Amino acid sequence: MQRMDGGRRPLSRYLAALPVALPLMLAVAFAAVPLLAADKPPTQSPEEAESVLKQIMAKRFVVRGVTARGQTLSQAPPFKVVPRIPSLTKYPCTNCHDNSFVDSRVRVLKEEHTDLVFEHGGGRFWCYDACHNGKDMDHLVSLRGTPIDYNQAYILCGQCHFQQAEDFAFGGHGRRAGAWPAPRDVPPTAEHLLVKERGKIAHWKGERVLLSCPACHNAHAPAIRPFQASPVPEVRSGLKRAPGEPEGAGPFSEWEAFSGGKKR
Amino acid sequence: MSARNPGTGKDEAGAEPARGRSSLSRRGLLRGAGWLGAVAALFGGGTALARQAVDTAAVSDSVADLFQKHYKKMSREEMQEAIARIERRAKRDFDVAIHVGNEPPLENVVFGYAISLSRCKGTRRCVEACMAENNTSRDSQIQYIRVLELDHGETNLTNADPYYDGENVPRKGKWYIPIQCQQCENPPCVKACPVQATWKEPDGITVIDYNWCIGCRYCQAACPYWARHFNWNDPKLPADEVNVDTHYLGNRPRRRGVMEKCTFCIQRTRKGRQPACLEACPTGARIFGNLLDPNSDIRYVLENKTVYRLKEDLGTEPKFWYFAD
Repeated sequence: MQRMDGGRRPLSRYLAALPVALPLMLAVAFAAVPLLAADKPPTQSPEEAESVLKQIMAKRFVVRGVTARGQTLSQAPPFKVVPRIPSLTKYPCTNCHDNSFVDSRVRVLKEEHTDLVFEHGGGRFWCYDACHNGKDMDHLVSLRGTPIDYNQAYILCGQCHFQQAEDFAFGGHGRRAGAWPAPRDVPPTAEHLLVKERGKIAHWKGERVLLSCPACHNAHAPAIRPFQASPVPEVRSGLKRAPGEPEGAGPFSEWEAFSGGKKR
Repeated sequence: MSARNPGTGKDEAGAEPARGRSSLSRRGLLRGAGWLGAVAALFGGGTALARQAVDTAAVSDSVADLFQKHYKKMSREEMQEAIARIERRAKRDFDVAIHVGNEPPLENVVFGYAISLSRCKGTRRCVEACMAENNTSRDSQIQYIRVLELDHGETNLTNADPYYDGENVPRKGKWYIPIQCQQCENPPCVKACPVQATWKEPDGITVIDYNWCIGCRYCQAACPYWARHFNWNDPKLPADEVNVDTHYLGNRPRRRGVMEKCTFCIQRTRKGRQPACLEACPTGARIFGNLLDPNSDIRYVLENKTVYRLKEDLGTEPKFWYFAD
């Protein structure tokens, strides 16, 4: 604006600025509305949710490392992981391992860690190839050489298993804290289903506390091993065992054949 | 879209009983029958009853149960009385002090469920957890979840075996699919019910008022997923296995002659907890969450995995998806 009359008549100057200032003030006020309304949970109406899903399905294509909505791993909803170190019986490793001495020869371990089975990657890996750092045994190590806390093992695993890492961060893989024990440590049995275990609570809403990868997968032999399933369902009240079907003969094959298509 | 059979059920609007003609309405008839029965019991069986030590609370509870209104029509006081009666009955039947909750549906929440078929190993832990959580009868072995075993390459569910041997699952050359209530958006069971004892709640869960159910089992016939189960006998439960945390529409103890079904563990999920089957799944195959929350687990799966629904061609619109990853 141009200066008028050496600073006299200030009121009219402000009035002259009003056409510019008023829209500015309004714009600032409207921009603040979403900030004030941020307390509400960010849910959508059913119609909105459906239309978003339809849009995504319409232009869906697979891009590695990006979700269908274009989010990268760092844009995942916030989560915490259950610390792993309290369940490591031999931690800290430097109790025994001297960081100055690294024996990287591939060999059968006869004195310590004799219980470890090296099946990860079909036995291609040795300790220091990708995960442990002989110079800093109390931390894991990334492929670039940066230390990774034992509690944050999912970062290490996600370097190769990137699809699982994405699923894990966004909620498509893994279990939440408070769930019944994972098969890794204790195959859950009927005792865990009884009343005394019900105090442990896993939530679908609120803070996300996840079990990290090693809670379920043994890092040295990650495949989940087959284990005993819960009991076979009983023949239901109102239904009969087929004639000739022996009592307690394992899987029933013939009865309920009336249901139509059972072919053997 | 209404596929209602004009011969079977009344419309929602038409189901309101005519107020002016109470003598002809169902309520009125029931009430009359109830008084007749009470009078008959007093005069006819009075001496026989008096000889035994009559539990007067039990008798008055039974009479009050007879006059209990539909879940949606009860006032707050009537609801509290009904809940107190249920708790007293559980105390008598199982000698356990249970808590019957009546949490309303959460705002802006519609529940959805997904199962990863590549992670389901057929361990049946979900079945076991479901029975423990939902107070289903240990006697008649009502199970809301059926885990089916199929050969690799087989997709016809009629060739599945629900009674497979559980030694060292997963067995070679087999795959597994758990089936439970699919919480349809367009539920055929609700349409089939002649007395509106079952309905879909705003959070998407189809529930039953066990006191209003007449046990006709039409819904069982209507359900394409075998998700509804009938209590042929009074449920039998050891006292130490009763789950005392219950919900009026969920896992409170049932009676003989009523239907029951999976409610996505309504007593848990309405408090923000996960369903028992999910919590128990040792392989993390189950994913649950709010369909309206764009950051929920279930929305991630729906948007990023190739999901399918069972018997999609029936138009039941299940809120239950299966995927492999």
